[in-house]
Amino acid sequence: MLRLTHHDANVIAALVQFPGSERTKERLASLEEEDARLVGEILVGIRDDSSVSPEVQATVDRYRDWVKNNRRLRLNREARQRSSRSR
Amino acid sequence: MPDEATIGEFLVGILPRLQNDTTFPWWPPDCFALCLALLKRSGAYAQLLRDWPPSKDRTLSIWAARVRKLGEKWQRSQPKDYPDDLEGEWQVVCQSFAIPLKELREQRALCEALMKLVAVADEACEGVGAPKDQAREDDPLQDLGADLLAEYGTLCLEIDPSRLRVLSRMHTPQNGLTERSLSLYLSLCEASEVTPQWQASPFIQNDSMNLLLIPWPFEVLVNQFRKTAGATARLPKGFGFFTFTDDSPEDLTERVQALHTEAKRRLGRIEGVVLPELSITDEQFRALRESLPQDCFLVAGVGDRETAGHPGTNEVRLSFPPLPDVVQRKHHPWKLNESQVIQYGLGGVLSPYREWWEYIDCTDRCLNFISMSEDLVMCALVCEDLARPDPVANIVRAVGPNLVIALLMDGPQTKERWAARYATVLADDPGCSVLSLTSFGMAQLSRPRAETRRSRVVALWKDRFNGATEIELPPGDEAIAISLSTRYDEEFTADGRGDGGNAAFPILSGVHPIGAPPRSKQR
Repeated sequence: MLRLTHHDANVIAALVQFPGSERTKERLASLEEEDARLVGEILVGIRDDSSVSPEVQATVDRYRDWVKNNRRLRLNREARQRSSRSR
Repeated sequence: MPDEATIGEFLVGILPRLQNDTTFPWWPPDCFALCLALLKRSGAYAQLLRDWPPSKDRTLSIWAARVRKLGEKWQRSQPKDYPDDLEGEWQVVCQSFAIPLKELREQRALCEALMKLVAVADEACEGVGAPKDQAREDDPLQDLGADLLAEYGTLCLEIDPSRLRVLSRMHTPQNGLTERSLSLYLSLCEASEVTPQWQASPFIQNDSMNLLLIPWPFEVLVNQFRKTAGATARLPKGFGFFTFTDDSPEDLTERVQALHTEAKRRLGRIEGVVLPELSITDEQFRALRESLPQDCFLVAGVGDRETAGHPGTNEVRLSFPPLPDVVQRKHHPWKLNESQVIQYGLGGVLSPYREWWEYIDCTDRCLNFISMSEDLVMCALVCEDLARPDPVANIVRAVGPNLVIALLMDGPQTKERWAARYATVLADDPGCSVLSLTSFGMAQLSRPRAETRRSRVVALWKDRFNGATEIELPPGDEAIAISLSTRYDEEFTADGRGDGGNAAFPILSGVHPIGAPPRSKQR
């Protein structure tokens, strides 16, 4: 897995969480490191991940898994909320 | 007599543009900060809540449902937009600018307006700053909020952090009545010398989490404590500086790898490794980080000796790949007094008749929050920082991170000692789960006069629901793996809003002593 700069880590987290944001282009352009830019582009779907280094691939996979996991946690939260508020 | 401060002056002090431009603060954290700061400063919330809810809402559930609905509407608004329903409340606030602050609590309509603005802004910010799942394609509030938090350490857009900060919140106190009792999702922090830093880590949270606690070093020698001669000479008689040096050249990597492998064999996975205060050097930290799997986080106390008159360092490093490692210095130096010099048997190197201050650099104060999931925000404190109310404890209490890890260089972590007392305070208000960890070497060195010696208790766990749990290192073992499971409970604000049962509490659900495989056993 890559080690990102503070800025790149924040930007990639935003790219993967808010892919529909109007600031996506601006965010991609602000990435400092070349490998981080690859990660960002793959995550927003403007580049495929067929020919990237294992470190870039591992980072991409990690962020994708994170988002899936966040979805699972969010669904659980909503279920708890529904159950609590229907009582 | 000098002029009394007015509501207008107070609010302009927070948001200067209100002097000339009183348009509605459309960004919910800004609105929250202004209104809650005013309620806090005047203490009006205590008076208001004596007769609550507002008469037009009749019951708490009607109030809560109405406010929640407005919050959802605000959350879905586009930038610079806000629910029209709040315009009336803001007008009430603006018309009160000339009223002296101390008269605020007598102004029932104004207090109700402020409380409503606080509550709706809070509801609008549910989940702001927490890791997201792409579920909502266009969500300006969440999107911009995450950026502000990561970049500036505040959710405020118009209010400068030199005046007030607003951070996300994980716990609302369920005891007592303070301004912290009034919100579920946002916390108000006074401007302070400490810079809070908020980082979202792509951490994969399972239903439970396993941590490997390594109480290293296993031996601490008296002669590792040394008088700092040059710096001490500048002090009055009766005071001195000391430094703790760990010159052990031992390569920990192989040992930690072996413990990690063994813990993983027994528990299936290990999400994090924790080492105590001043347990390793910068070089050892780098080697350890290199050797551990990237999906395993590392929280360790790292120290460096004083050199040529320059203070040493005592810091916690938080390593959550792919994030860059984060460094947080200890905020308070340790002061060794007579009883502690005797307790740790240091009389041969430090006179018990002086007060000895740890010679470390305490500048550049920051507090790091690692946001690992919507249910798990953690922060780490170093020793004294757990005990002293400022400068960091107030921020910790405001945010209420789910997990606080305190790295100590201390005696055994028994229930009777100071760390347990302060862990209990944080578990009670706001509701943090607290893990404290010291080294086996320091626990061995400690020989308190009055207590029974229980030098194998190297860690302590405390959460809101259970009494403090002492964690012992059995003879022959070198580490302890603990399992944490998440318990959910409903928290309520003092105005009667609940979070729907989503307050998350890590609970100790397993303790497993880990012995290293024979090859690395050296004791």
